[in-house]
Amino acid sequence: MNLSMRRVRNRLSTFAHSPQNWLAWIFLLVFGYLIIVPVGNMIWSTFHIQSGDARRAGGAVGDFTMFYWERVFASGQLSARLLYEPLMNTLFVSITYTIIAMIIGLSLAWLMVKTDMPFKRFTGFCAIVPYIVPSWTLALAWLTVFGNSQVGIGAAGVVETLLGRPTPNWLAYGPIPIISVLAINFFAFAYLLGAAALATVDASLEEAALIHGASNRKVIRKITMPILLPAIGSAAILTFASGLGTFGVPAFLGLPVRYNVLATSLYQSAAIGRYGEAFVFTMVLVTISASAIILNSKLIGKRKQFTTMEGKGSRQRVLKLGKWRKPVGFLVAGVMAIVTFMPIIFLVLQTFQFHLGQYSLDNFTLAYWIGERDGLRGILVDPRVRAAAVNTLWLGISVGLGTAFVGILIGYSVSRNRGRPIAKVVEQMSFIPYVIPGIAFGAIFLSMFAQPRGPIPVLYGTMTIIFIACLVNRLPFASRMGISAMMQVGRSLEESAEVHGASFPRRITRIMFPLTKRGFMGGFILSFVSTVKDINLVILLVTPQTMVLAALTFGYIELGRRQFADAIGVVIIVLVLGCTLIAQWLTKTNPLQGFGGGNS
Amino acid sequence: MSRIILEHVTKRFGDYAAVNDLSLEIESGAFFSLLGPSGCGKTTTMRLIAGLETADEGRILIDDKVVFDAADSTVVPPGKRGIGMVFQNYALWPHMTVRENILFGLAVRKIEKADQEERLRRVLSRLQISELVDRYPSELSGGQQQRIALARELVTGAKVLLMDEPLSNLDAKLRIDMRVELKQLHEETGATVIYVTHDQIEALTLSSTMAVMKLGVMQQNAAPSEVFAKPTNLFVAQFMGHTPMNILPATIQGNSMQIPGGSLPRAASSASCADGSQILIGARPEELLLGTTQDERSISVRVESILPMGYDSLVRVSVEGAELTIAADERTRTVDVGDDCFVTFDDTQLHCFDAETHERLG
Repeated sequence: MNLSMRRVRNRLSTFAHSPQNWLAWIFLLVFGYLIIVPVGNMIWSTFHIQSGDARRAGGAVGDFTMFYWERVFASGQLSARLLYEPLMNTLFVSITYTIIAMIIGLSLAWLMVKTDMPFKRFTGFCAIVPYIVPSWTLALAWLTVFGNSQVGIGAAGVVETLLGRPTPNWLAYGPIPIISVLAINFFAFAYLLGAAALATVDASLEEAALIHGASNRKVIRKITMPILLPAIGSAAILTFASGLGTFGVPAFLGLPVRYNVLATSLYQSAAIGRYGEAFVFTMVLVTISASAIILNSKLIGKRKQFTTMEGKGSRQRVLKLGKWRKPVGFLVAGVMAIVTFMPIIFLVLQTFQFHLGQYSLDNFTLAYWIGERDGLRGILVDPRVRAAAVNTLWLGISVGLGTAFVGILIGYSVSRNRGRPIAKVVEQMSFIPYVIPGIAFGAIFLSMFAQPRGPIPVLYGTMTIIFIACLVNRLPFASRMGISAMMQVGRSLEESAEVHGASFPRRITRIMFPLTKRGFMGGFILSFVSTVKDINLVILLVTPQTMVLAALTFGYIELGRRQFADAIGVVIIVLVLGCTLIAQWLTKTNPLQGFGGGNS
Repeated sequence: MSRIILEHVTKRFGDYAAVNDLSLEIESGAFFSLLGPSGCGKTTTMRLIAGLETADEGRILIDDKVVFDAADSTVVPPGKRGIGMVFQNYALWPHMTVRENILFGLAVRKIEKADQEERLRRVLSRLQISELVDRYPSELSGGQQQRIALARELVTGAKVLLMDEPLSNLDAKLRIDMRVELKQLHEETGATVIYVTHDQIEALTLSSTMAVMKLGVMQQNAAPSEVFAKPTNLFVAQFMGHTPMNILPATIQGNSMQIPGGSLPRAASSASCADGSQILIGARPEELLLGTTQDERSISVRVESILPMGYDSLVRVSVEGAELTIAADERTRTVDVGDDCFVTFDDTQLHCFDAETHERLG
């Protein structure tokens, strides 16, 4: 009796004195409540009549129903319009942009890693800019170049002005522009993944085959390609999954011609209060995304994964381009420079045009920056924009700090519990948000916190819900960053402080934090950046009081006030590019690899 | 048979000559080691022979066939040179099983299936790795990977085997076992082995001849015993040996040499030196004797520290600002730290070097 009492007391005392343990349990509970419960709640919602739908669904609010699923999946023409068409569009757009992005990205990776092409630094910098800037600013830029005056509230783009006649609709709106913009946005992602994989194929593997008499072509076919194939497949799936739920681009380029993808269908259903349907769309989107990610993790299972993404620098067989060296270098650098800078330049120009699409000096105006036009004030002098800017900065900074802080703590508890089941569970739970596209995430949190939950009041309409949604959405990134930072610091440094009698808070603040400072700052800035530029996640959660800059542009676009949206886009591009470069300098690495790739 | 000849071979990377005017003849069936510190050009030399790098000047012959000639731009591709190569990281193809790795070269050479299987069986049983045949490289230990890499090169029956620091990734115990194994394999196959290493013990124990390189230039090419006993210059002298050779400045005076702490009878190899000239003398720690009695070959020193190493101890002594290391037999050692005692030189074994050129004298 006495003995077992003492044993229990000893256990408790050990538990209390090992912060890695109670931290892990806290994370388990919090993740459960903020990830598992909301997803479960949303699934539950799709089977129960939502408020306002009692008459449509033929029952009382809260009754079990298959109404939403039937409506979306099995209602003939209606389902075709609601689900099947947007679904097909989504798959078509996503698969096509993935293929294009992979071709461009991998060719670039090959040129950069495997040849002696000149101007690599410049080209490499240009290549990642379209990936850093928000994809919806690229969509705006597309309209400034290829937009036409034929559709709705559209206006002539550069091409129409030059040609003197409207650009065809297929070039201005719909699938082709969406695919092009997403391909431009994501090819750098494929490039970074491909270059990392290529860099891990050590030259000796190819040389060993040469020694055995294989020809150069045979070496590529039998050695290099098979080794790279799993990594390429994985890169393609991640590229596909990353853009699957993009909202801004199809909203700006598809909606004017009623070209819907799942993300825009989801938004439109939610916007008119049909949450039941919106949640079913969310489920469809999450299912596709999760299947892709699961397929990916199967694909890169142990034996088949020959390259490591965090590639150690290895020796490379560099192909000498000979007389083609300079021409290839100029061509690639030139194309990259055009793709990178032209959209931004035209976007900036357009913010100074009183009438859209008229490129002349007497059309120059500062109205959209510091003036006024048709009752809307320039973005630098409009109190609404200022309020949104304050919200955006508040959100970006708090999410950034939260991500970095939570990341370090997750990293601490996971790395110190290495090999124990709880570490694995915490790590894997923190990766769940990775399979949920941003807009689906917004919908999930909407379903969870649009009504009071126990002691938690209605959070819809507060900055808190946006903050929590963004933070949870960034968890995979936070967790990966934190775990790798903590693994690098190693255990002994902390243990020697413990031997000297330092308490847990003291060890964290005096030892662990200073040693992971760079990673912490890098994580903070990158999270800040992705929060500031995000439109997918926040679009369903913002209200006029909690408006943020990126979502504000959507309102301007709906009103046909493109210059205002462009101006906000320019501000965000400057902010985002500047911060990313600072993060790159701080972490002395290529921080972009943490952007998309959340699975380790 | 499989003689390898290099004639005035030079390879530059930019302005830097990684291999500088290297001429070399490697006898058929030799176990030839290229030894030197990192960056000395030994690996580049091997890669030039393999054809993985192309030299800027000179000529290379394997088996009396010209495989490279800068004069008429002859470059035989690596696969046609009749060589095998074991890489430092083994370079096993990660997407192929052990079987596929080993059979790759035979398939490229279009060897009959039955013959392939027979050769595979033989090489597997010779290297005692039959049970690994269906594994992937990632499922093998370092030592096993090493054996597969060897098997892959042996199976083709190549008469020239190039090995680039093949043992450097193994732990100490395994390295010694593999050394024995490599020596046996060499004897069994009769192949010409070119072996790159920075580990002098490997070079000394394995080679029939060896070359020491420094900054792209070959310093000495001889049997291991000779390289050890008669280093051709100061660099080779200090590079070879467990503990670096002791070097002292000496001034020739008639029949004696003035060194810090006293004088010694003039070494035979300094015969050509004029009276009053400055030279450097070298003695390995094992060639010095520590004692309490003085004679004409000894100088007075003070013991600074002692590092016991089992049978031997490394005793560090000081004399007039110079320091010497002596390997003393631990069982007969009588001196201790702080003692004054004597170091006796063996003038028949003294190495003498020119003070300016650092070349060996005599």
